[in-house]
Amino acid sequence: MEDKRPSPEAILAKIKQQEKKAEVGKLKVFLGYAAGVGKTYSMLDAAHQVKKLGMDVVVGYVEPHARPETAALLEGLELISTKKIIYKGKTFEELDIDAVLERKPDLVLIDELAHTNVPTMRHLKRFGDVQELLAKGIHVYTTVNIQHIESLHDLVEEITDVKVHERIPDYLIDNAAQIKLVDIAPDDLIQRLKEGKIYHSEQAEKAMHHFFRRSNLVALREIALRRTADTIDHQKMDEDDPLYSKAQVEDHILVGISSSPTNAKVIRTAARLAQALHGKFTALYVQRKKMNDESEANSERLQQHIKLTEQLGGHVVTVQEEDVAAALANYAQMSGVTKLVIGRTSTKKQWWRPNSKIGDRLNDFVPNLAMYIVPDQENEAIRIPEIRDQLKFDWMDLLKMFIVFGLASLIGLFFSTIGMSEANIITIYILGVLVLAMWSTGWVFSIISSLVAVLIFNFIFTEPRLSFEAYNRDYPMTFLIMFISGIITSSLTKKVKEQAIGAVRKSYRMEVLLETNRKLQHAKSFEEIITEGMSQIVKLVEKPAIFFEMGDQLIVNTLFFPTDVITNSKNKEMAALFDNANERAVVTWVASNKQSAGVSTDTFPGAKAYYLPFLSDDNVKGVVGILLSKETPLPAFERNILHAIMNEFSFALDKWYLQKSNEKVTREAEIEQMRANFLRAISHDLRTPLTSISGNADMLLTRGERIDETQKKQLYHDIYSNSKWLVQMVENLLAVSKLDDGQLAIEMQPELIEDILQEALMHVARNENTHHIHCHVEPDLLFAEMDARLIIQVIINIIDNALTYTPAGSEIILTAKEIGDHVQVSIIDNGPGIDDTLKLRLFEPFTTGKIYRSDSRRGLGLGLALCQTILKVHGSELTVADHDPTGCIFSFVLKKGVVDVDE
Amino acid sequence: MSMNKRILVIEDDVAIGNLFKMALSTQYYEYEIALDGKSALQKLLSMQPDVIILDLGLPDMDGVDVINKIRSWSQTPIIVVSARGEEHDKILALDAGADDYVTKPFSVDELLARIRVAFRRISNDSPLDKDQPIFVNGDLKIDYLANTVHIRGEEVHLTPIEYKLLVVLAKHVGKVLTHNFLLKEVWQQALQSDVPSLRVFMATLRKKIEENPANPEYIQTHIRVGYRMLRHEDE
Repeated sequence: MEDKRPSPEAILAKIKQQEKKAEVGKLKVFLGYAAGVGKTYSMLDAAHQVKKLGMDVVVGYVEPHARPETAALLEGLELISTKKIIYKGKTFEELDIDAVLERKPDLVLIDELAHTNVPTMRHLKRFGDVQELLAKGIHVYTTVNIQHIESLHDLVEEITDVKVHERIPDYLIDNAAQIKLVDIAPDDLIQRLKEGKIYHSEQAEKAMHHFFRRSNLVALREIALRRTADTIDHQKMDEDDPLYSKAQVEDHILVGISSSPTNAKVIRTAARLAQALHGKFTALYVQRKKMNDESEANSERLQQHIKLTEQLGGHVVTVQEEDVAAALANYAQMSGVTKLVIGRTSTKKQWWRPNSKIGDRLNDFVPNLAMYIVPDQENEAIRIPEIRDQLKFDWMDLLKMFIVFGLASLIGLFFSTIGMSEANIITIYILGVLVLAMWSTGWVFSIISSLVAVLIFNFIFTEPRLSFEAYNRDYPMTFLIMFISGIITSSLTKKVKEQAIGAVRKSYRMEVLLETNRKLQHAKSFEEIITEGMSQIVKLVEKPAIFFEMGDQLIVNTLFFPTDVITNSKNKEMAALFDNANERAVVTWVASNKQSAGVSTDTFPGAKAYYLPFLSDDNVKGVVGILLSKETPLPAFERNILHAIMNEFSFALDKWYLQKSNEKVTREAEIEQMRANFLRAISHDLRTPLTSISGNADMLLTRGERIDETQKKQLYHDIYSNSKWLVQMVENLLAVSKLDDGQLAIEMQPELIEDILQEALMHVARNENTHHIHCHVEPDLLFAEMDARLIIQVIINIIDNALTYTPAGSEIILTAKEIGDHVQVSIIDNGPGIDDTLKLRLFEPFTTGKIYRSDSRRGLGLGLALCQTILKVHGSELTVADHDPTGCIFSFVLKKGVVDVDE
Repeated sequence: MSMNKRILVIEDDVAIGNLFKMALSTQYYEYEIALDGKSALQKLLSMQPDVIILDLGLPDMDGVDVINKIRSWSQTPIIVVSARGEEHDKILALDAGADDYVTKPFSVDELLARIRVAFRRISNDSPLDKDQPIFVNGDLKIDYLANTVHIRGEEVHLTPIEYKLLVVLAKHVGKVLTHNFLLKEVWQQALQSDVPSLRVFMATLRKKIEENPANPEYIQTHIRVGYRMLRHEDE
């Protein structure tokens, strides 16, 4: 028996998902089958009930022409005043979404979900507002009539003959937390209409004969009841344990997308089917030839169809193929499609292709696939622009023809003078037709060139020569065969050429995607990732794009990426388009809602560009803007690739963050190790001076009277110098503790080198004027980036070492000079120098120059190791070299500080 | 002369308190030691000291709060005692109104020098001195009316910002001025990013005024804290 108990991980994932659901608001839809069934009334009634339960309820929008009973229910509910917008001279009242967001109620009531907003509003449709509110965690009650649901649109149209323009996507209803069907018997509704409760008497009279016919109402009511039942089923399926539902065989519905005006109906039918069967819904777009050849109206319609599919919960796939039927069949077989929905084409059977109807041909390809054919009468209309397009005549082609046939004729003449047969000359002309097919554009040209070839051949080479007459009885046949073979070869060549172009275009985009992956893998910094990713996007879409870096939902930085497709000045012009408050507002909206907006979406459709959020770890790191105009939205294939690039982009950034945190951990571990070593050594190193101090002090306290003055002086001196040394030790300890706090505690600032050297000299522990110390800085006013305290500590340690390990009277020189973008600081002494074997281990902890020590009291041992660590944190390194003739040079470089001084 | 000079030491550590006692008694200053902030404020009223020495790490109150309380009614010079590595506290104390600071561990000589500077500041603070049209400090002479600066008898040409800086330093001679304070006085705003340019102006100013910029006589740098104009003894 199969174990159907879900794994603990699955349960956890489910709980997590439910928690996430809890963060977003819940939608309750009051669904009616016609106006006047009492949707608004029951919504307000429900609102009063939850208000009694203590919920914070406000009314966002209720149709102003409310009926008296409904208006009475508004009493006692807080109203958010509507936004009055004057558009084209008329005043419109719209939901004030910003006011609601600011008010932040638990629940907001919004009437008429299917309403289309005034174009100046943020969202094209009111449901956009509702979705934003839900995403911000505000619950929404709303009303809608059944005929506004997208997938039912054709059904309603068929029944009522009324075309509904305001439609909402099905997923809104399917994903609603609750649907309340507001139902009333059709007779009662008609009674209400007669009483003038719905419309004024004149209007009511008119309505009764159109929409409100009893038969209509009964049908609409049935649709509404069924749709509600479907939704309940749908939700139940969703909530079922995934293991149970997976056990069922899933239906997979495939539909073909085209730019045909009636295709929308086919898509909706397929969507309804998918919904009823709870199956997967895929739409296939077969891209033929060059997209650019299609008219604007067609490509716009195609975009609408793709959007419609997405709204209906479908997944759009684009393939490049000349034969639609073959493409559909191939995809259906590969992706396990169970049902195929196509529109019925009324193309007449053609003699050279016995099965030219897609349906028939599909049946040949995949006979065991269930097919649904939707009546689609208007299909023929769209062929016209395509043919007209092919009739396009290019004068360049004519020139090419002259050249090619001129050459062919010359070769033909040559052949005929050396006495070769006419068959060879015909072959030359057919070759010319073939070359022209590859070289020229337009299908009609193939026919012309074939005809011209026949005519020239006739004119020059057949008896009588230089006339269009032909004596031989066989010639008409020869001409006909020559003409037909010309057309066939040229059309085959054209087809191959076009497929090759299509394949190149597709492979170019795939190449861009692969390149993106490769380039992002190599990017090392945040900037590099952004630059690489954005350049790839620009390469793909061939439009300038911009990256807005977001921090705390505010734009912190913008980077513009021009495209080489257009000129520089044009790019600049485009860049300026982004620079206004409107576009910035869209960007901030995208960042805070984590949704794309702008051109070709329903949110801020009036913006200048298409904006996508750039997420990493579910946080918006930036917003990508791509300049698009309404006329040229991104084709579906490009859009898919764009989304894939965005994904790559996010992965790269996630990876980068991960790597950064790993590096941080490694560095912290290094510092931790250093600290541990230091502490181990310090307890030993502290004991020596402390013993001396406490011993000497004890001596003075107990035997002070028995010691003479010079001895006392020596004891005082030892106490003082040992304590001074301890102070230096404590300074190093402080530096270590600062390093231990990590990068945050380190304060990098441009500092004046001279000041730093002076300060270091003031703190040198044993400066008893035994050595000559000089300071030399070139040029004046040299700044370097550093943490002043730590670098001072480095210099102090090195000078202290020099004082310790060089004999009295030695010279110590501090120099700082500018080398390119860096400042080199060196501490030079003319003491005995350091042994080469010691040099190698010099910066390791616990290394002391025992052999050359001028006094053997103590070994700091850690001073130089600490210096090295400090410099590493500064991205630098401490190096040691021999000084000529004797002594050594300790040096390190720091990044030069740049200081702008404006007076 | 030192007999009537009164110093209030606010220090909770007994050993360091003893060090203060010894150091101050060698100079015959009158002194009292307060062990915490509360008793210090009481003693302040009864004793009316001329200089206050304040350890920032007190058991009962934040040192900066003590300064704020004192400054609400008294301009008595305050010398802050703090440990190295606590620049931030030091800057807060100076911005709150402290005049100077010594860093632990300090030498007795250094402490006594700071006290002398503080006493001198009191004598300079007489209202008469403030309104003087001409400021003289050693070889440095600033004529506020003519906007001219002379050093060792020769006029030096300063840029407007250098001049403003010099004037601010001169008006607070003897007092350590924090970066923030100087930025606010000269540029009317205090952005941390402006500190480097302040350093540039200070360095160029010093080049024009000091005979040996490596060993300044007039303008002292306090790394990470600020700058001070040193008071020269009148010959």
